[in-house]
Amino acid sequence: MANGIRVTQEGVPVQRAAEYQEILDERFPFLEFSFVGEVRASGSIPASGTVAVELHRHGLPHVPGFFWMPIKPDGTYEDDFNVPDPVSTSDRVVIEFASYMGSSYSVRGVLMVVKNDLTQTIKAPRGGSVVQSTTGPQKRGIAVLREGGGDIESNDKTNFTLHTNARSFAIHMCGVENVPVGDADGGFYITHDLGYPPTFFYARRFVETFDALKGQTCQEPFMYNAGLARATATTLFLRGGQGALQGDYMYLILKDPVDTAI
Amino acid sequence: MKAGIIIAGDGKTVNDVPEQKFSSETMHLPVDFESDPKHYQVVTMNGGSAFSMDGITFAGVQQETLLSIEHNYDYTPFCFAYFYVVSYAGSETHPSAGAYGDMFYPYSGTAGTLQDFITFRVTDKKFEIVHYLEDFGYGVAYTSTAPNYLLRIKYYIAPIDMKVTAYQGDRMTNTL
Repeated sequence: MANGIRVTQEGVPVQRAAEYQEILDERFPFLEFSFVGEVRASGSIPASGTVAVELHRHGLPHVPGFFWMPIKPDGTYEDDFNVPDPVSTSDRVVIEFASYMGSSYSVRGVLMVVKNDLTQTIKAPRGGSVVQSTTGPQKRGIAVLREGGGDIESNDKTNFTLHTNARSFAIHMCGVENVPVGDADGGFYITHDLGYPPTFFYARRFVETFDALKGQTCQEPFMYNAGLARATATTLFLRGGQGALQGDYMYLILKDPVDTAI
Repeated sequence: MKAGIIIAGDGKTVNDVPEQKFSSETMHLPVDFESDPKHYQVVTMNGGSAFSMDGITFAGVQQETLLSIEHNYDYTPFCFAYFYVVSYAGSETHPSAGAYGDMFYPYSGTAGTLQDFITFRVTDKKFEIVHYLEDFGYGVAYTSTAPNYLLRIKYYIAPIDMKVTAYQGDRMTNTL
C-alpha cells in the first residue's frame, strides 16, 4: 500500500481532480528548499589566482539547483556585474573571486537552495479528468505553521509551511539535459505535455577547468537566463539569446494552479 | 513543541528522512489563494506603446507601467513571470508568435545600441508589468514594435522576503 495524503481545492472530488487542482498529493514531489535566507561574506582576494568564497554549506548529497538575489550595500539589487554569480558545488554554494577584481570582496544576498535532487529525471504523472474551476479561499483543509510562525488564524502565508489556501508548487519535470557543441537547433526541447506553456526555470551546469574550483561540477543559479524560449501546449524549446546553448543545463518545470494552467 | 505533517516513503517510516514524500518541516514555494488582488494570474495585454528615439537627441530611458498590483506584503517578495507571444501585428503565424520569455521578453536589442523589452518590477508595495526602451547613446533611430505584440503574461508573487528595496525581472538592468 502506498502512503499518502491528497487534498484538492474546494468543490473538486479527490478521485476526479486534475493535478493542478490539488493542494497536496503524495504522488508528486513538491519543490522544497533546504535553505532560504540572507548570506554575507567579506574578506581578501589573493594577489594572484582565485579564491572560492563560501556562502553556504548545503549538506545535500547532490549539486543542487538554487536561486540567488544579490544585494548592494544600499539595499538595492546588484545589477552591474561587479560581483560574480555564485555557483553550487557538491558541498557548498560559493562565489569565485579573481585577483583582477581587486583586493577585497563583500557579498550579500538572499539564497534559496532547492532540496530536491533535480539531476534525477522526473516526469510526474498527470492524473484525473479536467474539471474547469478556479481557485479560491477554502473552508476546509490543512494549515501548518512554520516554527515560530505565530497565529494559526493569520492570513499571512509567510507564516506557514503548508496551507490549503496557499499553493505549494509540485514538480512536474526536472533533469539535466546536454546540448552538444554544434547542435543545429542551438538549444534543447522538453516534451512536457502539460497542455499550456509551462512555468519553468533552467540554468547552466559545468565542470570548472581552472583555479579554485578546478575539476568540480558547478551549478549556476536559476533566473539568470539570457536565452529565449518557444512554447506550445506540449513542448518547451530553450535556446540561447545571442549564441547557441551548449553543455549541460538543469531544468525545472512546475505544476501550476488551475487559474494559470492555461 | 514541533507539529506538522510528514508523508513517509512507501515501506518507510517518517524517520527515513531522505525517503519522505512530503514534510511540512521543509520550506516550500507557496502562493496565496486568498490574496486580493490575485498573487498569481494570467493576463492578456498589448505589449506597450511605440516609444521612439530619433538618433539625434539622447532619449535615456522611456518606461510605462502596463499593470500594477499592490501585493500587501511589508517586504519585496519573490516573483516570477512568463511572457507568451500570442500574435504579432495580428498574426498568429508570424515567427514571433509562440515565443516565450521567462522573466522578460526582448522586443529588440539592436546590436547593443538600445534595449526594448517588457519585464516585471517588484517593490515592497507593488508588483508591476513594465515596458522599457533604453537609449545607449549610439545615435540610432528606432521606434518600438511593442504595440504589435499581443502577450499572455503569467505571474506569481510568493511570500518570500528578497531583502531588497526593489528589483526587475530581467536582472540585467536597473531602471528603477
